[in-house]
Amino acid sequence: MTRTHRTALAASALALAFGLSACAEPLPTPTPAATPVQAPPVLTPEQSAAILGSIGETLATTDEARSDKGLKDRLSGPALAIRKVELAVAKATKKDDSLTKLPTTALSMTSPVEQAWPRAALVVSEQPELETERLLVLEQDEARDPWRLWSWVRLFPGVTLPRFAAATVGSAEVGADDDGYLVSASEALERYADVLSKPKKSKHLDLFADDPFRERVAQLSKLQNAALKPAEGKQTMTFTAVPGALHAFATVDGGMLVVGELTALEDRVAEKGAKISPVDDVEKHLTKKLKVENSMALTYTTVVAIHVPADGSDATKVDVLGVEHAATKASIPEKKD
Amino acid sequence: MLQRVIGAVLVALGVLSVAFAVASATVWRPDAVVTASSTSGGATTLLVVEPGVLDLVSDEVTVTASRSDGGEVAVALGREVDVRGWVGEDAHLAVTGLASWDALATQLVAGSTTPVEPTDDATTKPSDDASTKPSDDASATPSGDPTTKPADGSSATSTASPTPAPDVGSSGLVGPDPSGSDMWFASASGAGSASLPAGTAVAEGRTMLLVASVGDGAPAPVLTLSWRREVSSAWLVPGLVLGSLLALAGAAVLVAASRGGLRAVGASTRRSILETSARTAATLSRRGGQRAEPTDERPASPTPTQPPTPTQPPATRPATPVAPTVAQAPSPYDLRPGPSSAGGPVPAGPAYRGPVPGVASVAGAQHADEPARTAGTSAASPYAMRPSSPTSGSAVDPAAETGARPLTRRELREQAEREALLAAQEKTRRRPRTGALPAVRAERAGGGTEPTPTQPTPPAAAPTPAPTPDDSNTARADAWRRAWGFEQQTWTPDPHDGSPARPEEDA
Repeated sequence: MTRTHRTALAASALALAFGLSACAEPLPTPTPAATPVQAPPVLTPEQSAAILGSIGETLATTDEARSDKGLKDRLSGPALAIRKVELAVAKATKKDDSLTKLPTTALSMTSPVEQAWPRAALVVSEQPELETERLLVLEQDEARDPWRLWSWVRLFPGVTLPRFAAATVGSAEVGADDDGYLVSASEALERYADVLSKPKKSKHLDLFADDPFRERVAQLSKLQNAALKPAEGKQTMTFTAVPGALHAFATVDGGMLVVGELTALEDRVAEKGAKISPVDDVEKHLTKKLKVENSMALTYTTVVAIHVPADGSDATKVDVLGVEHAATKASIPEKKD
Repeated sequence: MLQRVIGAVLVALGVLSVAFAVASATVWRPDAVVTASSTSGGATTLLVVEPGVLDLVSDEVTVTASRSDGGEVAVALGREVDVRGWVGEDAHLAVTGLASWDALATQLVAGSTTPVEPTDDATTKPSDDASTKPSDDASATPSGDPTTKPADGSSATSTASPTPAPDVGSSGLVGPDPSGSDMWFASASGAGSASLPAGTAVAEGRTMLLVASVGDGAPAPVLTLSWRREVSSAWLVPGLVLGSLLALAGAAVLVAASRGGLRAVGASTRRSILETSARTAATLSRRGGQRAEPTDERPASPTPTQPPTPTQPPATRPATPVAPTVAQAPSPYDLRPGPSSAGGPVPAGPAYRGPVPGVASVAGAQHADEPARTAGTSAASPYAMRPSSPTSGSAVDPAAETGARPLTRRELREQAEREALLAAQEKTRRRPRTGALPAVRAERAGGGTEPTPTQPTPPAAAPTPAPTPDDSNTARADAWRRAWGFEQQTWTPDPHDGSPARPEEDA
């Protein structure tokens, strides 16, 4: 009796104590920060620096090993394609001359604001020794992907880059076919490819200001043709824009900077019996396994950076700011006869 | 009695308050560290913490993720967009808040790409591989994923995983690895458990936490959030102060109550006795006065009765008691110092109490000649209490009779004994001090040397010849009223009574 009494008493006391302690404090409910009206940049400066550092590490590692192992962790797109060849050539020649210097310390970098994927950012890297700055494009293809170096471009000497929005605001990306510009991004690439392919006959010649790359392509063509002339040979080079392979970033002036990939196909054909020999180490490497006789085809991966002004602005010409052009593949076209 | 109850209640309240204060700072004190865990469960390897949960209790949170089978587990902190984007359409547990103070509220979000069923596995696995491989490569895990995974998974699941263990490669869940992504502000991973580095700022904007069990056959991870917070024992000091104050007050009341009892035995008793006798004296004199008063007003009529005032009462009342008191009353005034303090005889007296002498004189006047007194009595009545105190000395009659002669030791002893006896009786009686008092006094005063306070009223009332019972009653009531300061209250008596009363009061 007393026992039950006592236990009952203790139980009630405990219950009271627990009850009191329970009602002492209500459970908090989450009060998350409000969703920002304007989407903030998806990368902080620290994160950008970390990404660049990581890319630089990968490049350093692969450069040292002269091997492309692990390269695709941090490189993709045209950058990956070009670097692979460079590394292979470096390995073959046991020299690092073929390796494009790619500083990964940023002079400036756009802050991507794209919330969905793919995301991209534009980086102006430090100036390598005796060379011009590199314009790097970083890309995160999917949420579970790392940021990778998608492409790089050697800026032409003396070009002035358009200005981009402050890092805190972030630079928006422009769609490939967005209106509001002198030409759309994809169209700009297509027209530039046309101009490159037909340096004299293209109907878009007026759209583009003169640039060093066009001159070089013309010069190379001239040289090749001159070299092949004794063998009644001929060299042609055709540029094509790679569909969808572009990133366009809005600039402060209302225009956009388009970085896009082109493919150049160079055909060299000589008379029967003639033998075309590779011009440089890269071609040598690419044609290593080919039995090149009187014809060969070289595929170049070309990345161009074009500044397209806004529609309705005073500017009437599209500026090409830089380019990277490297042979990435060699083949022997099927003989016609 | 009431005082004791109040005192006890106060003390009890005080103790309770202190107890509550202490308990609030100890037993009931909320933990400085709040630790809440998610329940493991659900066919998923991913767990996300919704925005606002990480800083639910405080900004200082320790994030620990664990996995029952000891496999690799990863935690990552990132923007809401990034975390949601990374999780994508995979099934996951969402931590939405606290279910209780030690449990996290979780909600299973079904996904379309997570291999909940074996058949789905094939669809997710490629994507998983595609996404995780690169990072795996980066973290030195060779790209031989397909080969290593099954083995890894089987070993992991064989230990504890409740998911269909053996056929991990084909049926279990495949846990993608979030570690190594560029999007996270902070991340960590480890075998069996992982925790974010201390001091990670978790509350910036809309951040989310992602926890993932990595690898094939991975079970749902268990997340433990541990917040360190400031716990103020806000009730401690106020409770202690209030409690001690209450207890002190209660104790004081209790002490006062018990002292009051003691005093009844000692000093206070004495005073009360003095008061009583003084009142009695006043009553008596007034009683005489009442009869005399009319004469005051109408000088002619009362004459015969008046002159003998002091001695008259005995005449009116056969019972002697009153007479002695009255008779004694004057003398004690002078002598009073004697009884009050054996040490200081005569000189001390006048200096002792200012009012007394005056009163004494009034009282003397009363006795001396009533007419003069009538006005005086009412005025003096408040003071009458004072003179009464010496009157109580009436007990000291002998001394009084001896004139200014200091009391002998024996007398003092006797007096003390008498007082003690009185006090004892008073104590035993323990009667409330109410309106009954005057009657008591009358008795005691009547008793004179005889302290027996038994029936004061009847003797006093009965003998009074002139006044009817009514009269005596009103007289006594009047005396009481006057003694307590309610002077002009009900004035019911007969017309002849009323008329004299008025002037008395006005005076």
